[in-house]
Amino acid sequence: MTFQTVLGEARAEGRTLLNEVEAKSLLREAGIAATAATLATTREEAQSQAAAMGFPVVLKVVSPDIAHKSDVGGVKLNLADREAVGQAFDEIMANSKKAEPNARIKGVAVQQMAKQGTEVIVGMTTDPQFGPVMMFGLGGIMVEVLKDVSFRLVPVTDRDAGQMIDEIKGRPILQGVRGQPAADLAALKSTIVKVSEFVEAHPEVRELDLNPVFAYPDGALAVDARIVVSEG
Amino acid sequence: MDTERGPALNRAAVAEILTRARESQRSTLTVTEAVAICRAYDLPLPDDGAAKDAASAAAAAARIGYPVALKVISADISHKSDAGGVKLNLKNDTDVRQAFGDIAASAKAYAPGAAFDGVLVQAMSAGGREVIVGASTDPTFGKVIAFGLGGIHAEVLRDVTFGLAPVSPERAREMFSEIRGYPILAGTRGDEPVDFEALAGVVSRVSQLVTDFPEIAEVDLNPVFATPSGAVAVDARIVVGAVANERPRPDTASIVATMQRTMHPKSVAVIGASAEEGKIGYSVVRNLLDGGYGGKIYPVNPRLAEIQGLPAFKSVEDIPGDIDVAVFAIPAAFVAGAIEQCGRKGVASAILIPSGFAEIGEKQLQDDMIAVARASNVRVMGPNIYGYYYTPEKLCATFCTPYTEQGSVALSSQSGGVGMAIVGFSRSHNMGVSAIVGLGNKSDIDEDDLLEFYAQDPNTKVIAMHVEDIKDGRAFVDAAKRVAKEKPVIVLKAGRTVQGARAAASHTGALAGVDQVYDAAFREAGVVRARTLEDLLDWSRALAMLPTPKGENVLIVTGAGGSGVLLSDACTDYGLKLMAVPPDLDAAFRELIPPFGASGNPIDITGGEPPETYKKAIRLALNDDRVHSLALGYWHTIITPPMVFARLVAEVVDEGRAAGNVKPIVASLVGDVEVEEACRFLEERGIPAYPYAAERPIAALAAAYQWARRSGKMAN
Repeated sequence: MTFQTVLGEARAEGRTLLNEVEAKSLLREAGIAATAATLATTREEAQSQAAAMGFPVVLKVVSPDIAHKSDVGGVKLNLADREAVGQAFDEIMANSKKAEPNARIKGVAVQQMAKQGTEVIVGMTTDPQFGPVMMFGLGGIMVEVLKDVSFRLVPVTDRDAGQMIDEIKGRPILQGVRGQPAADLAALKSTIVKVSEFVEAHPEVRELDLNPVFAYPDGALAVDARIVVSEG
Repeated sequence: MDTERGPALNRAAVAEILTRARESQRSTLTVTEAVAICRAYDLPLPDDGAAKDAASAAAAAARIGYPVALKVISADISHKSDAGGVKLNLKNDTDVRQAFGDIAASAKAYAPGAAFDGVLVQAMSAGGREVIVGASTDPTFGKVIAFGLGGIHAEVLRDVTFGLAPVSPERAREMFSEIRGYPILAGTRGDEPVDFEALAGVVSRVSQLVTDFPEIAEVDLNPVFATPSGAVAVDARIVVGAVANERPRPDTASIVATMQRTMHPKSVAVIGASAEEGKIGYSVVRNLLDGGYGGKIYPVNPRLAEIQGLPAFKSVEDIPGDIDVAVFAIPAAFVAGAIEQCGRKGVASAILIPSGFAEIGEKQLQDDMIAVARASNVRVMGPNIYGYYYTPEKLCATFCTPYTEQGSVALSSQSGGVGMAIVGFSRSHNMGVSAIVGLGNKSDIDEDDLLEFYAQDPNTKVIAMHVEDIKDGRAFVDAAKRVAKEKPVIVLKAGRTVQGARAAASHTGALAGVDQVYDAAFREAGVVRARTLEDLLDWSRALAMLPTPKGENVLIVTGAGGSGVLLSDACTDYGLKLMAVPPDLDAAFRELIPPFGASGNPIDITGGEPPETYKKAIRLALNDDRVHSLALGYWHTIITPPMVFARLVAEVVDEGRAAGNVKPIVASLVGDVEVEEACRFLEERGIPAYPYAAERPIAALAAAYQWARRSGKMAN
């Protein structure tokens, strides 16, 4: 999927929010590490995609009309085999149709289940005065309440990204405290820089949220992605 | 529900454990002892059982139910996790036996010869929101209670707050809302709030425990799991220590009696008076004379018969009649001897200008001097000070410069430099003072003594103190609490960034950055805290002018849109509430201002308006009881020049005062230098006014609010 194809499809459907399959495929194409996500329209497709990807997987409903997927029973985590995937597919379709009878349901996103890492957030928002702005912060409820984040104007260099990481109050967490391993800072910096390059190359992107990104001792992986594009 | 009587606390059980620890000279209690103490004080813990061997550990686990945690029992291991002495989430018999073996081995490896008394088998908690409740012993303020969010993020971000013990359940609830992560406890993302009542019970009973048993130096309940239906402490650490000696304090009546004689002396002796210009002993006599002091001045100098026109005496004991105050200007080595003579003469206070004591490491010399002073029944101010001023007596007992501008602010400082800043600032800002006092090394007289005096001093209305350390935190809080109910007390605590390498054996101790404890103490005492010298001086001057606000509604009336925006921002920054203007009042303002002006808050009357518009708008605001305080923004125009503005404000305010409409008013004046004259004019009429500044007037108003809220003068 090229950016233009995805953008064209979204605009044709009057959407500004890309679905997760679209968002992740664009990110991966841009060299940003994200969990694989494919669209399955049938039970069998879901099962074979999951098998190809490797278990365990996550299934999430894909619908332009359902914003809060968990609330309608549209998310199933930690599915360990074909059987579980098949059953989850059926349940998600049933739950979603029941909760939102008029929703357009495109299918189900099949995604790799990532192993837990230190949660961080990488995001971009478009400021009315300054244009695209990158954000970095630690994830998790505590930090979201405390709004422990840093900002830089796009484009962000490697040095900027390093400063963004150093500026947050919770910085020691990334060094590894209480016996937790240190996070791969180079991978985090690279994620921030690549997102900056991605949004710079595609000015149609108005907002982007990788929340959470799991930071590991070696590497970083975007687990959830949200991209909003401008209206056509 | 029986809310009158708290749960029955088993003090005897705690006393027994503490006695045992003391007899075996241990400072760290074992986990079983800590758990027993917690149970005696009704602090909820998971079900547990002690086990000496693997088989009994497994039996205890089976009784309690899986999963369980195992924790090493050892009087020699303070940090159990570091020693490999904790195993969590054990799900079956095999795991428990294995964990027992591992812990036993780790304990031996951690410290050879360390006692190993088995393990505590504990039910695993079902979890909840993690918080920390602790107690530590602060060298200044004694028992301090800490509360914070637990978990790795909260600990890194140091999201904790402190309260001085005893902490009531009501104060505990305030503490909960003081931490930044409070929304997590109150419930975010649809979560139910935690059981605040249960949590407040835990905090207040920890406070009760360390209050009842001062030998308990530190308590750490970390973590406590708070849920919507309760709170359980999963781990407890208790450290015991020595009980601090009580500091001897004279009673209030005798403090006041001595301070009365010190501030209203009928006679002052200058020991080491000099006829030679440039000597401290010369300046002191000179300043007493030049300041216009009306009492008797007696120079003391063994070699001279007359000094600066006054007859001199060989010794203080040779002076006829009583002496209230002796100002010292002699070398440190001779001070104690002269104090002894002062004692025999019945002198109330020795003002020790000389340096050469604790500040240069001569602590012994200072201690010996104080011992002599105590035995001689002489109170000591200093040493190492510039002296002191008390303007109602035109008393300038100092070697600096005389200052006699009378007013209602009493200032003190621990540093001579800051003392001179006070004098210079007061003079340049036309600030009248009642007293300026140097406390220096504070070997005896300190802030508590001054507070006791100011409390009953009709000449003092506002108290401002520069403090580097507080000798007796509890005495300070106790005195400040009483005084601050009637008179604002503003404190600048210097050295707030020095973390103080305090060896703390526990988490709570390490978290108790000294400065946060000062914050807690000042809050408790009702003290307004200034963060800079400029704020201390500025706020004390403004508070002497401002009446107490009757409510939270602040209204901004401005002729400059830009000032209005800055004043609004400052209100938010300083925690003031911009009034939501009721529709009828808004309509009334609309009548007065041009159509392109802005009503709401700020009321922007726009720049081109004549004096009459300012006048009407300010009058309207003053006469409306729903407006509690006013912030005025003015900008320099030809239509309404600075002095015209100043006069019209004064006129309207006088009208209001005559009608009984007294409310705090501050003003920001921007324009060319003429606004400085207008500001002086306004300040002479009791309206704090600032040229070229929008934040300082709001900061000063906010200080008045902080005092009003903390003193209980205004409902929160």
